[in-house]
Amino acid sequence: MKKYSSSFFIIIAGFILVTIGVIWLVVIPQGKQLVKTVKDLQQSKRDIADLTGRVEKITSLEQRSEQLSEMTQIVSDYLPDSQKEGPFIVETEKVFQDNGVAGDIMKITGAVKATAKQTTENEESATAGATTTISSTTTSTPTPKVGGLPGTAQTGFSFTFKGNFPSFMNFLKTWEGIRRFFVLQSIQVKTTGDDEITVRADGMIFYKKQVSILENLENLDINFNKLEDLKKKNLYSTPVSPQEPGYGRDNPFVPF
Amino acid sequence: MSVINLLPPELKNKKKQIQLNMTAISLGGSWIVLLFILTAVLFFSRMTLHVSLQANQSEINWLQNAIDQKKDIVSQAYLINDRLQVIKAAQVQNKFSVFLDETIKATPSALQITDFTINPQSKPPVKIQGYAASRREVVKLMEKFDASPYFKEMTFESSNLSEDKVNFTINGQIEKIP
Repeated sequence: MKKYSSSFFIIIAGFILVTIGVIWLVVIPQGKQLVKTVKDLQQSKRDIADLTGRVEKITSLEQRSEQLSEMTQIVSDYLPDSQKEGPFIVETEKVFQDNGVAGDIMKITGAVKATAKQTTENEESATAGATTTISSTTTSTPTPKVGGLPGTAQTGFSFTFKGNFPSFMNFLKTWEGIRRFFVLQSIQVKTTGDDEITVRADGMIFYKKQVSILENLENLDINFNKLEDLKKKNLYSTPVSPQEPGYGRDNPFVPF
Repeated sequence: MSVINLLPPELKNKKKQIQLNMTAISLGGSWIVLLFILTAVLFFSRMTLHVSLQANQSEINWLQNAIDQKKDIVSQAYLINDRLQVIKAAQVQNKFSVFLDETIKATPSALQITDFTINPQSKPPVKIQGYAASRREVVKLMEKFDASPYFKEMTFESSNLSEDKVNFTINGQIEKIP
């Protein structure tokens, strides 16, 4: 005797097909969308926590805007966003003048590539009186051993000084502490008279075009205690400003 | 009392099949209904969460706008931390004055340096020329440099006597950059 009829199997097969169809076309897409919505919701909660933290930190920074501006100025003096060799030259000149040393030749030798060998051009002979020459010659020098400094660029300089040794030492120690990040690569001290020396110092000034840290919540924290440390890096010269007096001559081509 | 089914066997079978089919239909239908209920639950759960998500998105937009309005402060904060990171990494920058201080300490009384060159990238990195009362003074300078934490491997390159003074050249290596 036949136990199940063919209509029974058709009914079962029909229900199985409908079940597969419903699961495939409705339940799975709905489930996926639900999971996505849950994930989005969790992410949005994290985003809100992060943004709320940022807003709180920004609000607290806003209350110390004066200190923030001062700190920005100091760190920008120390590591500017472009070559800005002008303030470095002015600062160096002020420091050597204050210490009774003469700056003979001050030369900016150009961009320094990190990997190539040093090909500094021959130094010009010393000329009487302080002169400043800015040249566009490119100098390639090995990277200084100053640790990993991501994102920084360097410009070479070659300065020659004249004076006596104690004055030069005072100058050098002060110069090494100015508010501008630079590194000396070589120094040559030569005696030229009984109490006279000539010193040639080659080095690099650093600058950083872009901000390369992560723009996250943690990096919005400012350690204002560092401000006092940074202030120890003195600024000896008065920054040059186009607004200062002393501009304008009837005839710029006659001796001043 | 016993019930006697007097229907013919074909009809009996047919009735059984119909009952079986009806059972299958009712069970399958219930299953389909359950599936639709599950789908509805999923849909309404998603809709509820979606409303919360939209509220969160609005809050995010509001907070983002608040931050955008203070863009200057944000830029300043990132700039300061970026520069401080470099300043911290640059603590090892070389201080050549330390080399010269060591030279002051190491120079014997009867010796004059006329040319002192220090360049970590050149070979040799340290080159010293000068005059001394005797070669012993030159060796004293070399020994003192060797004992210093900043110089090492001092070598005597040449010397010649001229007008009662020894004209000398010595070379050396840098042990560490201050």
